[in-house]
Amino acid sequence: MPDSCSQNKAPNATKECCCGPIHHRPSQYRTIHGLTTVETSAGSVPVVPTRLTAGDYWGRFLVRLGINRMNYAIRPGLYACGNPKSDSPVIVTANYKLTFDILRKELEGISAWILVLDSKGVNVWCAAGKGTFGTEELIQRIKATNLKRVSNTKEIILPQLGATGIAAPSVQKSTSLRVIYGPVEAKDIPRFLENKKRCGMEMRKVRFPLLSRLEISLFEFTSALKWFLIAASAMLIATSFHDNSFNLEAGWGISKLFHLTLALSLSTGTFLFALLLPWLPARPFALKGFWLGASVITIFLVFFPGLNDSVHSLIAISATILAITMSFALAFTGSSTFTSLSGVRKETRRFLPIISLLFLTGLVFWILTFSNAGGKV
Amino acid sequence: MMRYIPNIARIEYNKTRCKGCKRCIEVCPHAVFAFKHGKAVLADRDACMECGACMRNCAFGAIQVETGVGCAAALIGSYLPGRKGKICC
Repeated sequence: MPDSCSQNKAPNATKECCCGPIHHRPSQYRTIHGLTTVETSAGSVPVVPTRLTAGDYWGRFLVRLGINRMNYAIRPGLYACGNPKSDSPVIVTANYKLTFDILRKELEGISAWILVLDSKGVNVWCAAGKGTFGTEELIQRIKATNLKRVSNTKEIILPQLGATGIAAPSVQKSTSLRVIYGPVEAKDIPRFLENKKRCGMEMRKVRFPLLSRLEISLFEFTSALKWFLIAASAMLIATSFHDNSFNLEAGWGISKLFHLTLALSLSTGTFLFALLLPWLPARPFALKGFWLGASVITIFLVFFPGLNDSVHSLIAISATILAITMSFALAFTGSSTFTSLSGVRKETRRFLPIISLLFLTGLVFWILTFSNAGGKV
Repeated sequence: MMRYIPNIARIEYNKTRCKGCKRCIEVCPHAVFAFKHGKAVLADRDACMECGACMRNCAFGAIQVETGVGCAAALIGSYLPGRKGKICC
């Protein structure tokens, strides 16, 4: 199972962490604009346009920022694109609207039936890992939509990343339909269909390109930001108390270094780590985070030697940057495409105590730094 | 190609059960299996991310994979008292 779910893991999309508890349901289904219908022996089937609208792109943008991503689903069931006949291919997908949009925009000029499973508004790979894009749901949806009346196909095309949740042998036993796994990315579907539903080996591999990694880091950053602002505010307020008076300006003067450290750590742990991942040394992510943090500390001290003025603050800054960077790095295993649970377990056991110790050290030395600085104001 | 911690993936493959249907090769996102002399071979065990797709799609029970929710947050949560059995996603 993928280490964690990736809400944006439509083909060609990215991974994030946590797509909600297994029973979470979207509260509404989104409208697909530009629908027409086609009459079939199983009733009316909606025909979807293969061109996305500005509204579709806006929705995608919001979801990439993490806004309302748990509530971006379409009604499951049978859809069509183009002008499908009873022998047109049947393509199966999830009811996360981003997945659906990414799929249909690659089907320009193609006539097919699209069977949308109820994955609770979650993308294919994540839902497959959770079991919601699963064998039972597929079998049930085939029956519920009367697919066999609409199409006389002997095979159905599943996204390759659904294989984690779909047992092809069981599907065949229950429905007599043969599961064919299509390419990882929707953009390869036209070529796959032309090539007699066969995939080149390159179409079967999952990659982790820069854009995907950065999209994840953006989501990580926005999720963590509020906690960092709270920590910064708490420190600002704490350092503003001096000699029975409350002076915010003085507090800012004292705690500036802390805020700078937080900002640096947050950016390093999210954006910089995602950017440099392929080149960071060592295999465990926490260790990669250590090297990155250590490098950033070195650069910081070399280029801004005047900023830190004591051994206490030096230790505080270093411990904090290392702890935060390593934490983000370890968490990134859950959003990556090539980490194994066994590996994550091993490195968590090994590095979590070290990270905890670094946080504790940081806390102690910030207190020491600011207790001393209080006397300087 | 980015690689993770080697010698750790819990995947077992029993060649005697393999009938050469190539399903494991079809579903694996990291080309862990290859096809040689009519049967699958475990070509790149260290590339395995334990997703279990191969095991799920092998009709002959030739593959065993230890799968599970692997995000570090869920793992850490499971170490804390009172949260055993609760997965984050």
